[in-house]
Amino acid sequence: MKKMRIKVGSVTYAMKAKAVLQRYGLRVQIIKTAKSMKNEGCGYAVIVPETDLNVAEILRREGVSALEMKWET
Amino acid sequence: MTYFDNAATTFPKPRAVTHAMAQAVLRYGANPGRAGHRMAYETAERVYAAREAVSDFFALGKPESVIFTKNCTESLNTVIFGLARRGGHFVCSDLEHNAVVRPLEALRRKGECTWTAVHIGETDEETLANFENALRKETVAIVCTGASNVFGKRAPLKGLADLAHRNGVLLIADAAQTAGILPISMQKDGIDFLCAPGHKGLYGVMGTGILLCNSERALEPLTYGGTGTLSVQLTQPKDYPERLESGTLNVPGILALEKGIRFVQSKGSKQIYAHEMHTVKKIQEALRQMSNVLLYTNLSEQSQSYVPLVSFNIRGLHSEETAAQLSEAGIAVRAGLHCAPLAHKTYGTQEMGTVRICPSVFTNEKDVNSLLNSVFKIAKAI
Repeated sequence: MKKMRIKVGSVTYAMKAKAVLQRYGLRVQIIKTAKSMKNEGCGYAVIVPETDLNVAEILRREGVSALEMKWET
Repeated sequence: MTYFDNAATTFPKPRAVTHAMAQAVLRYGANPGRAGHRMAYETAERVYAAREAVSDFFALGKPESVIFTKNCTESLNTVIFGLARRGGHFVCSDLEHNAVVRPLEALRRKGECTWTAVHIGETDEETLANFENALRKETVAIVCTGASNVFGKRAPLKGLADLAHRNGVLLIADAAQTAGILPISMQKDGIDFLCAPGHKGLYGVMGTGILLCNSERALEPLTYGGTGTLSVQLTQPKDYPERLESGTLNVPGILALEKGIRFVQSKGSKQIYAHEMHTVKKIQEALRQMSNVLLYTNLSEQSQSYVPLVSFNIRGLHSEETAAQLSEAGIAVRAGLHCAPLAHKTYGTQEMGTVRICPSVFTNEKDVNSLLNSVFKIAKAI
């Protein structure tokens, strides 16, 4: 099953993304990111399960800017 | 003890607030926004829920623009210093607390900004005209209290927001005495920055304050340091709230504040205001009938609007002496200048100060009777 990893700027935006997506029935997991540590330092990402919803658009509308989006299996 | 010092901090606190403090220590003991373990996430989630509660309560619509501070003073300092620029100018009222006046004066003494204090008039029209006359092309912001912490007199914040925006300046509102008892909508009222304590009308605990940002204008931080994100950068993150929240947060206080707000919502701000105003009017009417008691406001006056607090003096006694005698009788009030020398100058009470009485949602008739009996005895003995 495909998952989407959305990197956000802070734990607050991770929590906001989680709260927003939960309203759309999506169970979201928050993780600390490690891959970008060299360039930026600590950060957070939300892991979103596969969905037909336009997650990027939903988050953009709610004022959550995604720093990076990646699809993983 | 009978407590009438609620304008300084409300006491007692709702049971749910006390419980939330304990829960924060027992269950949410990790540092939010730092580690990636379960308790850190759960704590961050509770902190975010508190941001949502604050944002909803003040109709801000942006939980991430709720900044947690340690008190209203820190919120005011953050926004005043955060907006200050060389050559800038601020306008405030003549009822401001030192939390506004001292940062402005510090900026003036450093040669960075100037400021003007204008009179809160007998009518809103007069007040708005006074503010308008004080605006200059270099004015950055109007900083105004929602209500005087000494005399309770209210300022027309919505009108000031309109005036500010018509002139391209920002409105900073000090809601120290209004948050929780008067309806405040960041969006409808057009307030750009709102500063409030968590421990007064919102019934949280001391050591908590909030700054709500409703403006595109980014504030320069007052404090720099760790935010748990973008750690490689030597500069502060651009995004709120982390930009203005360096260092570990007061999680027990923040979680308790959420419960305080829920408590206010459950009672209703309108009902709390009605109860407190009824109580304070009753006190003022009784004081009016006592000889040797000096009053400075008339809460029943239709043309003026007030928050529920009253200042008084007993003729021939310094306000601190009156407060000391009341304390001996088991009554807690605040006397002196209440950190608001401008307000005392305006009312001509800078020599004596005043004794301030402020009820809370918990104040009952027995409390009122105890207070009045004690004041009567002191005034009669003069």
